[in-house]
Amino acid sequence: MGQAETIPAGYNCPFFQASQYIARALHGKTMLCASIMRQASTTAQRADIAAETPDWGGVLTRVAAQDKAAFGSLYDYFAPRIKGWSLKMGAPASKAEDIVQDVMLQIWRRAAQFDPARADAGTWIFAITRNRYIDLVRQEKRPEIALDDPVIVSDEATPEEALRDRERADRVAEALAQLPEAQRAIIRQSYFAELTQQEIATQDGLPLGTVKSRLRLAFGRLRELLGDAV
Amino acid sequence: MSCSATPKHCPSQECLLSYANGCMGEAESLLIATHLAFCPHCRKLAHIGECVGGKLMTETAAVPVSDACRSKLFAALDGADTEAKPAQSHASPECFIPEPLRGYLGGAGCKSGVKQLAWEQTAAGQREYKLKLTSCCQRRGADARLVMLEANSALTLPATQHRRALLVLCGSLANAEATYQTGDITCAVAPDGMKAGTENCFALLVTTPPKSWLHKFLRKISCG
Repeated sequence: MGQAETIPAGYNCPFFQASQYIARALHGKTMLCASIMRQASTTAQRADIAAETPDWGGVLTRVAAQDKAAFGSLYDYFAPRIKGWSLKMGAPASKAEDIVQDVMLQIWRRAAQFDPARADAGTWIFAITRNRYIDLVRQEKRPEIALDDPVIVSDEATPEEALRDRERADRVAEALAQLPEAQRAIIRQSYFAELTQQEIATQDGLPLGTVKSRLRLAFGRLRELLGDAV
Repeated sequence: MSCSATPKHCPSQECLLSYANGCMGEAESLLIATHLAFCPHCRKLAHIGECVGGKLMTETAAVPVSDACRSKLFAALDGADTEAKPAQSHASPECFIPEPLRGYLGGAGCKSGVKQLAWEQTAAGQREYKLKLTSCCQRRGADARLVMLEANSALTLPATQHRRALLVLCGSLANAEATYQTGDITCAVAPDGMKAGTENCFALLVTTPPKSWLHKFLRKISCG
């Protein structure tokens, strides 16, 4: 499934394969070094992050048990970021704090629904913020899949795949960090201010075709970094 | 359920990204979300988009929030109802329409339930049921409808400058290029040449103004 998209056109052509082989042989040494260094730096970074970042999933579990102190620490970290995010999305300044209140109240009310097997805390809070923004600012409904709907086609994941799913948020964070800054920037831009590609193109002074292909390349590279079996 | 294979005609990566990051409008999102119910592969890609969003939001620059905001919120906590884990959503074994689409049909998801909808005959062998989208979405010029096409009938659609996409829910649709089955999306909805297979076909038809993301992003990419 989905493999066809990730294999570049011409992959089966003998010249393409030979040139890839030569390129790999030439750069193998450098890439090995780079990969060792990258691993070392991500391990160090991870240790730093682990030391600095509280376990927000654990905090949410306490919020589910109506722990106001836990909710307070969640608020102090996320409220200013939800506000910053909403403003970047294009919310009027007068509405930004209404969104913060609304999102935080939803978190308080629905903390028991947080399922660490499906998402990490950041992803869960992001989804609530996105949906409340769509409701309050754009005044539209957000149609979303119901994962417990008996009608959906289940993916019959192997235990290994299920583990990969659970660890996706961590792996996404690492993959984003490894992405070249230009690619990271174009993905980041696609999240804000409901920019159409035309608008992203105008801001950067790039022609639309270039932006489209860059976004596609950036997301494709992210998937590569996440491994084939995404 | 008649569908066992996963879809072969899926939306592009960028399309899934714009669904995940919330930039896409309601009508297009309904189409994508309903496709996701049929396609575990695209669900994973959309989840990557949400994980990226979570990461970016966690890292976003903090903007100071007023003390009033905090005190107002904390004052509201005691009176707020909390929600436990949602009950398993109900669907009979004959149900073939997944959420979120089922919600737009008043919960009708099986053939007998769908029959009760206020259908409008639009062509020979073709009936349509217009979904109620939020008024903002309608003002944008978006439209979503369930289409029922009798076996072997040709799909008839009026000419428009708007962009259309179809998601097959049950049965099949085919033109000269391809056959579309449960979960498949096609943007090639030319009024001519698209025909139902040997059983009745149900599909979701979404129409959006030419400037929408659907226009720019929906691409037929084979997942198979």
